[in-house]
Amino acid sequence: MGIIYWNVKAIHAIIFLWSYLTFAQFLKSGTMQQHNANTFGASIIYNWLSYLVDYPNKNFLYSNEVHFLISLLESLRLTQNAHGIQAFASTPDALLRLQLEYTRLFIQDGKRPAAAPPYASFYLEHRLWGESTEEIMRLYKTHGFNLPPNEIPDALCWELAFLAHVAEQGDMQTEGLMLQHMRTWFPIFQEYVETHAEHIFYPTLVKLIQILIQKEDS
Amino acid sequence: MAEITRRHFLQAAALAAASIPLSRAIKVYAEEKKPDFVPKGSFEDTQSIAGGVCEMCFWRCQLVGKVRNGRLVKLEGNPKSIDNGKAICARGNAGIMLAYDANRLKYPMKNIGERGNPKWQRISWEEALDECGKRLKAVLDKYGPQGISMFPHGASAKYPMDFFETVVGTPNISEASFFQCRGVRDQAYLTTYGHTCDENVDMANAKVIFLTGSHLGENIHVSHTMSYLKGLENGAKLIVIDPRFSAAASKADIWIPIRPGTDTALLLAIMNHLITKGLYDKAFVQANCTGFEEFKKACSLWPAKKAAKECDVPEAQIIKIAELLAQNAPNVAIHPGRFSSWYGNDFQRIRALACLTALLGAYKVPGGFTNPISPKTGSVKWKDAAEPDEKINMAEKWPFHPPGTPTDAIRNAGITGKPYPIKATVIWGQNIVQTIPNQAMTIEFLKKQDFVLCVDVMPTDVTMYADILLPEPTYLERYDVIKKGGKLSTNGPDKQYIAARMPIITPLHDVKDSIFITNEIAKRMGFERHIPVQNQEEYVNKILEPAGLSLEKLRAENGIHIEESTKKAYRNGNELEFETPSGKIELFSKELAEKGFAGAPAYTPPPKRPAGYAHLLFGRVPVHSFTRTQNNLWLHNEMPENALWINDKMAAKMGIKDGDRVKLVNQDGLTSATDTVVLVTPGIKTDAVFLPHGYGMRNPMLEIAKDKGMDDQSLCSANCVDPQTGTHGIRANFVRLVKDGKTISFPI
Repeated sequence: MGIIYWNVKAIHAIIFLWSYLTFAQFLKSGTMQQHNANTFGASIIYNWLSYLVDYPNKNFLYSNEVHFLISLLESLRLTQNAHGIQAFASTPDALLRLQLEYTRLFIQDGKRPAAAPPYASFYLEHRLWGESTEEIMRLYKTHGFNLPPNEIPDALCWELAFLAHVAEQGDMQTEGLMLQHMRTWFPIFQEYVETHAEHIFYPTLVKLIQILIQKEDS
Repeated sequence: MAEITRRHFLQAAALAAASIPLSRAIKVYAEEKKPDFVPKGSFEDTQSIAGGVCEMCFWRCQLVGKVRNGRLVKLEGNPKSIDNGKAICARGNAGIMLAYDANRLKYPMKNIGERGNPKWQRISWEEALDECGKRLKAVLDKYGPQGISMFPHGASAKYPMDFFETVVGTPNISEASFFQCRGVRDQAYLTTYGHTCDENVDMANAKVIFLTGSHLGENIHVSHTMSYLKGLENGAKLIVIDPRFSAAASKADIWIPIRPGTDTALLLAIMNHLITKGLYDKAFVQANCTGFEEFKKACSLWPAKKAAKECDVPEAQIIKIAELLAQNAPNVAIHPGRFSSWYGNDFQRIRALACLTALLGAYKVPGGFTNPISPKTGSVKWKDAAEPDEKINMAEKWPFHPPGTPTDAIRNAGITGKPYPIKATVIWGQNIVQTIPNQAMTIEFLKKQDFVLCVDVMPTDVTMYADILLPEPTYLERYDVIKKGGKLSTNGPDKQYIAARMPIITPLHDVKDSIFITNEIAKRMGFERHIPVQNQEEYVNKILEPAGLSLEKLRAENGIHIEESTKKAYRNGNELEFETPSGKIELFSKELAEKGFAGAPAYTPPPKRPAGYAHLLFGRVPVHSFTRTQNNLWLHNEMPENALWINDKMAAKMGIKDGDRVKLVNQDGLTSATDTVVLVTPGIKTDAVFLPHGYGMRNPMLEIAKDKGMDDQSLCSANCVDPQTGTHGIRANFVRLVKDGKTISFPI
């Protein structure tokens, strides 16, 4: 995703500090409707997760986004995860290890096919750019959400970015549609990540996403 | 009123319809009232994008893509095409699933594990290109240009190949299309006629079509298959020489299940009969051929009776073929073949095919060896290219070698360091693990390199050995090749066409085209001033320019420019000129004789089959192009594994049944890594088995293809190199069966 885009989001990090406690509460309760008033906060959270599921680059581990993740995990009492990530982030080759983990899980593995390609249609149709992808693309288009043509529309980071886009506009209906779609494929993806991950970072992340996208009454 | 039953009603209607013609009116009405029904998976709202040129195989049919919301929904033949027309084959249709394959190479990768057992790290293009430039430069500085080798394949590899050959200056370039496929054929025709050939013989207008070991109908080249079927439709007699009841054999008037590798003896016997009975085209030979006396002598070594024994073919059938050809000459299509690297005695076999064509006068006549005339286009040459250094050319050992250096010589040098060390290898679109015989040697070669760069669209067995692995766009996402050709006409001017490959969709993920990659590597190696073009469009426009065309003009013409030829491809009269040393068709070549080879076609028996073993034959299936398409979901579903053909009588004696699963072990003790299913059939000689090629890939990144079927190439370890051309004979291997861990010999 574009560098400029993420610079803008880095500014948002300041707002995270303001919103994360609210968000932690919201995750604990597991409901979204209670926090309708805080749609702007939800949008930031989606964007934040979208950033975290993209390929980790140079300053990733020292970014506000990762600091926020650790604080959030602590406040959610997921202390083991928080400590795991904190300890990991302070090792000298942490970034390389995280990049290798990302490559192996999501792009290509030398020893098997990528464990968990982060594309919805992979789980729904066993291919990229299937009919379900086109449906997603239609949804994006009708909401003025344009992405670069080389990108795969139903990649996890784009689905999260779209959620951020509609949440920002307070479009609960579309947000609900998208969440419903995500619930069709995300559980299998999550299972693959949990089964094949070599350390705690990505299983923690997918767990948070799973909490965020689950049905309101569950 | 009595109740009207359904039966009454229909009876009455039938009576009424007999007097009033209702059906046409109803049809028109129904058309107007057709509901606006759009079924799922329809092409509603798609935009048709012309300019595609297929590369699921290398015949390059012209395409149109239907795109909706950025998604490629369907591929079709370009209706404007005079080549493939609206038709494309199964592979062509499945091109969509190449572009959208989840296992595609998506980002530049660095291998921080070992070659063959990789651990991948996604890196930026900048970092990847810096690494390539630095490592290649280091080898160049230390070992000279000959320290680098390159294995290119496909249109995107042309530009980088020219860079390494003409700017870096390495002679160590080996294309599978030449050294493991058709190079030997091209060279044999070049030596005989002074020009190479392609397989576009005029089958549509032939009275007899003559095929040796052909894949027609099994490797679907659309326009070529159409021409063949047109010929059959028009009543051409079909002669097929093949140990196997191939797709072509199934349509043949005469099928000769020959003993594998003995084809040259059969061809010499046919020609001997034509000469001794005076059945050849004396006027054509007199006017256009040289060395007839020496040639006649060479043919006389193989009278039909002797050949019958050698080839395991009835003598009467050899004579029947010769006479059928003579009766229909000159309108006979002696097919030069495509995949020609069989037994290491191939140059002479194809020379024999070329000479048979000449004896029958079947050159540039309707139904004969008449290649259509293609329009002229330009080329892109790297600036200030250096003259090749003859001192470092290993290829001279094989004086009739195709362009490049024989693969075997490169591989040996890389392993032994002699005559010089080869320390960096660039592999561009070629899976050398599964194209070159003797995998163990290829892997040893790769492991001995200081640096290995692979550029490809999909993971293959060789990409596991890369240090840096770069992703290219698929043929649906890039510019590169110019497809051109012609169409013969028996009653008017010939036509010719030019089509440039244009992208149908935007490149996905983070892939870069070969012009960009090569230029960036060239800059980092210090060769910036040699760069001839800045991008793909400029590259294609330069090639189109001499034809008065450009991408813009071609786009306006829906992707294909068609014009009438000013010349006819068929000859007018008997007096012809040839660009051979003698200016004639060389039935006997002095050049060959001077270089220590038989000047007229001569038969060398293929390597002898050891007792208990069968010849390992391999070939094509219509739904795959070698290993390139194995991971394609749609194509895989059509044919998930490659059944091993075994003769029914042999199978009965060996206790093998149809549907059994077996492995193979070859003459050097190599066992296939996977097993496959047995197909018991009377359609193969007792002393041979047949396996479709390309299966049994080992790269674990290939979710669909890995370990599906059996890899024939893993069983090809015989070092069998054609002495004139340095091309690899790949069919000189022999196998026994392994069932439930027990080895079973063939009872012959």
